[in-house]
Amino acid sequence: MTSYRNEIKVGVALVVAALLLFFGTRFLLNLPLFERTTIYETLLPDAGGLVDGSVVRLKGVVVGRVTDVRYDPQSGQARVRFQINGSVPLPEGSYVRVAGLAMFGNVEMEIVPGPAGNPPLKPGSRLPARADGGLDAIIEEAPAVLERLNALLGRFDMAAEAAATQLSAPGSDLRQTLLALRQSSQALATLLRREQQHIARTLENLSATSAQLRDATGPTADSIQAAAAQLRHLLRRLEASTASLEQATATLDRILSHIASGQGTLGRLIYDETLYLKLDTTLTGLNRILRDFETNPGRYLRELRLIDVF
Amino acid sequence: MLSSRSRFLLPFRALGQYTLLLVHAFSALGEFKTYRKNLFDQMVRIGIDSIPIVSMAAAFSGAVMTVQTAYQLVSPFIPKTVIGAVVAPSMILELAVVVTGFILAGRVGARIAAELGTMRVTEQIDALEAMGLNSVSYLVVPRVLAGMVMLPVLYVIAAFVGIVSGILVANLGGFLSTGEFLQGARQFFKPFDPIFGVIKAFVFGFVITSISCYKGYFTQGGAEGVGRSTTQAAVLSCVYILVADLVLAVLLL
Repeated sequence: MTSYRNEIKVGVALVVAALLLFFGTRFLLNLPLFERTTIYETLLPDAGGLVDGSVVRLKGVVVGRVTDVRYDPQSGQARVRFQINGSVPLPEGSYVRVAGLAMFGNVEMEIVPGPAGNPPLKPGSRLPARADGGLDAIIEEAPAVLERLNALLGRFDMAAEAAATQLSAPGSDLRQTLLALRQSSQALATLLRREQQHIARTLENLSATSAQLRDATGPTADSIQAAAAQLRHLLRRLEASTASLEQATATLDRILSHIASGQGTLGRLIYDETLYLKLDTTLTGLNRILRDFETNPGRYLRELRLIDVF
Repeated sequence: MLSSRSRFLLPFRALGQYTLLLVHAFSALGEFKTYRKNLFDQMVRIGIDSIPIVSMAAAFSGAVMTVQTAYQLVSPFIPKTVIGAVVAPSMILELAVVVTGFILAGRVGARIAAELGTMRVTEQIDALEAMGLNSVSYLVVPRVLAGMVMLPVLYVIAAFVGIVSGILVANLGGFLSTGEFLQGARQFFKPFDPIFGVIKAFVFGFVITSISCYKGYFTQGGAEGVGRSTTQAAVLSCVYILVADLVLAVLLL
């Protein structure tokens, strides 16, 4: 019987190596080991450093890898094919964008999913690509920013030169001000040096006085506190009285304004001359009658029947 | 004593002999029945029998590389995942295949040169030719094919063992967790990396076995010549592995 022992050994080794290579590659590519993957593609105006093996993320999670990046002569763009886990459905309306910095080699492809209610894309579909304002865009704008920064620094330089010129000019106001400031500070320093002992004594006295005050107020602190509480109570009552007074004043003010405007009995009494004149005429007539009564009481008493009875 | 002219022409003569031997060998590829049994025998000897030593070397390479990378990358600004990002691609792209190649150059290359050299000096090869057998087809082709097929197998096993041992040492040494290691390993992994490793292993297998066969097949000078051929086969295999490594890196990366 022919022995195939060596052939079996070699065959097993080859199969094991092939499996290790296949599953090891998928494992390191972060692809599911036993699950199918779906291939999609996109056209990018600029691949921006995407290479075979670049990570594909969806909501920040690695869901696949770029499998092929090449120039497409027909569209004049970079055609990028990528595979993602079969368990990740991409709804219609999804699009891709390139994220990351090419200079650091961490360029990735990011999928922005479409509305959840949309039907899933078919395998092999071409997803649209949109540019993002990522760091590469900032880097593209860097020269303009640098130019503006350069101009700003130039102006700052000019201002610094002008300030230096102003400071170095013997008769400039700024220089004189600074000199005066320096003299004042020197004089103040001299004064402080001269009066140092006196100031120290003063501070000591102040400290002692405050200590004495603290000692003095210490035992009567409770009484002061009670007095303060009473005072606070009184102030509250005074505040209530003031409010009531304000209310009464407002009412009086309203009445006076009515009187001032001639409204009401009192207002009309004050401002209506007709009433005064009638009253005056009445009083004059009454005065005349009384005078006549005094002079001729019989004229008035004869008329009274009641008097006749007596 | 060789004259200066002969010494000058020696490399060209060697290159010519080597090329003719390979042409002869590849022209005999069709005679499968002649070398079929010998082919699987050589595959076992070159490949299966080398798995333990290759695995051990790869395990130590991965472990040492992990420890040294962790030792060098002591900085709060460098994430630990960098260790995985350094060790795994290094194993896949370079270490696994070169270490495997060096081990096979010493273990297999020397053995092939010694075998064929002994057969040459004891006139066994002449006897094969006298019996009408194609000695190149019978002796060289199976060895070269076995090397070209089995070295990629050994490379895959070595890369796997090296990365796993790196993960184990990283865990046991407290350098980083398995998750961190794999996160780094995945960060810069490209699908072409293992393919490039397989291509290199294929080429290294050819380099080692063809050079060793050449040195053994054209051995001269008795037992001393066998020893010289064996040494030269191992040394030249190692040198040409490095040359091929550079050429392939320049061409394919």
